Amino acid sequence: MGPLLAQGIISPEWNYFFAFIIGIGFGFVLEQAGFSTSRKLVGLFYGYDFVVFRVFFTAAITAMLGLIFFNYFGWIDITKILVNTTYMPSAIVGGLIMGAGFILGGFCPGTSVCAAAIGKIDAMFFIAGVFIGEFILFQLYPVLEKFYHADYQGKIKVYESLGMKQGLFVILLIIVAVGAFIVTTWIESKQKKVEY
Amino acid sequence: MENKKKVVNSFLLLVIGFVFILVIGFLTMQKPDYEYTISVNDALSCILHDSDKVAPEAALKLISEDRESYRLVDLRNSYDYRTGHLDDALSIPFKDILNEDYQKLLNEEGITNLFYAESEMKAIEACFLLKQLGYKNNKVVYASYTYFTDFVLQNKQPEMSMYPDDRSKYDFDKAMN
Amino acid sequence: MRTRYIILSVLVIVLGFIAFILPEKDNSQKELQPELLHKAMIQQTRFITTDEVAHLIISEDPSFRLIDIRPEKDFNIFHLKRAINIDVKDILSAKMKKNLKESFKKNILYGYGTVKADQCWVILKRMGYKNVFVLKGGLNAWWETILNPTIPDGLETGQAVLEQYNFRLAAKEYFSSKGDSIVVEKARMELQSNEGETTGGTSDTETPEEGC
Repeated sequence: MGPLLAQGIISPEWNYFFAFIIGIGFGFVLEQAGFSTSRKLVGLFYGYDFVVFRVFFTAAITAMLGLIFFNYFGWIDITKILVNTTYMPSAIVGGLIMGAGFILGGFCPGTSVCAAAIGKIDAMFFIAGVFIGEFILFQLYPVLEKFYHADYQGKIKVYESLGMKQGLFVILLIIVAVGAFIVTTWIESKQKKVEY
Repeated sequence: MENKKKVVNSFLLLVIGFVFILVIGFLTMQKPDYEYTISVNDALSCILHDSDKVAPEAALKLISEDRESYRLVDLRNSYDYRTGHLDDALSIPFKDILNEDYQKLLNEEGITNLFYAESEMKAIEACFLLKQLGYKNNKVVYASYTYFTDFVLQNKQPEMSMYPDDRSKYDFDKAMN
Repeated sequence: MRTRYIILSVLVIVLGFIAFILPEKDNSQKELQPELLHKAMIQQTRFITTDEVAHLIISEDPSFRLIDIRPEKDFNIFHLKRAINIDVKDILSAKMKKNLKESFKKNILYGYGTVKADQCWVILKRMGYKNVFVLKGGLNAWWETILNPTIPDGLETGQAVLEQYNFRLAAKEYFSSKGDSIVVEKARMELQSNEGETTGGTSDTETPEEGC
């Protein structure tokens, strides 16, 4: 509950409580969308199941519209929302590593915890792998530090780096999303039904 | 099939709920009663200059010569107004200057309001605030009400000349030596 | 299933379009609303008297800062002790904002009179700063009460009035003696006169003046 905590509306204890509730909600949504099976998760890579793509894109668009409208109503202050800092090279390399790990292991960090919660042993190994990877990173940190912090671009937003207004980006993204949904649904209908 | 129906229902519920929240948001947005028309950065330009100030004698002359375009406004509270006020002065207490009833009077095309109050500073404050809200045609009489009653109306000159507030009255050079 | 998706797609495109035409709103710079500013102007709590400021300066209170809003050349001729000079036209500059951000420090604005400082206060209050005050009467009042205090005439009587007058006399002494520089000067001259004694120079020129 970032903005609420920063403005002092809720205390840190309530913050943890809300984090707990939201975490449970997140796990519930992932599980009922079927993300505990690695076959569904890597379906996006192999091109037979696009549920992951659709769910996360929907979530992103809902959050985006919610933030914009709530800011307009005056219920939140959009400048207080956390925006991650952008380091281009390390973002690209990190993305590649994570993508490779995703395909090899069949989980991403969030869904692995989800799957481990329902008892999948390969998910538990995956979590162990996450910790081992972090340990290696921190041991190598002195060597990697310069690369880690290269090309600091600050907390820029996508539409700022593209040079367009926020509203224009929203409508374009939504049109792209709806188009992508139509295309992926069509692709799926051409596939053989896969057993999960 | 039952499961699918349940999923559909809860899904529809979420969507309707989201839209409902948005609708509530739009409906509950209030347009503020008063808005600054001049941004803070430009507010410095509203700081009263000499052109916004009128000397007391000149003010009385304007009122008597040109009733149609000038009007005296008394900013003191109603009790003081009833005790005594300048002829034909309108009573708009300072604490009420943002009232809807007076909005038209304070921003009237073609009539310049000349403010006076128990001190010049109160009149200047009122004029400054209204300027930031975009009200035009308001000026400040550079005298307090008591100055009027003690000197101007009796055609007397004060012993000490009226010094504009923001100029040096004394020789501060000497203070450092 | 199909209809559901079509409805959703239409809905989300409509919402996107609405978001597109919405004006961008910046909620972070919350200015004080005109009604609240008006209420704050009616109160007189922003004014600080010259006696209080004299107290604060003499006791070297660190919790306040004096800000002189007059032009630079006037500031160079005379200014209150440890005051900083920020001209009226720079009142919204980054330098001033830095001063205002330290919310534990009181910023006291002063000019020759009260009017200009008061209008600066209105602007800063509109921006939401709460730690700004105004010296009532400005430097003109400073001259009249501290640098040249007048004996209380018969109309004002009472212990409090007498005490205030005594305080003003003492403050005048403090401010006219220019504080530390005089002490250093005296010490240096005493040292010189001590050295002068051994070589037979005149050493009687510096008799420390007792206060009145």
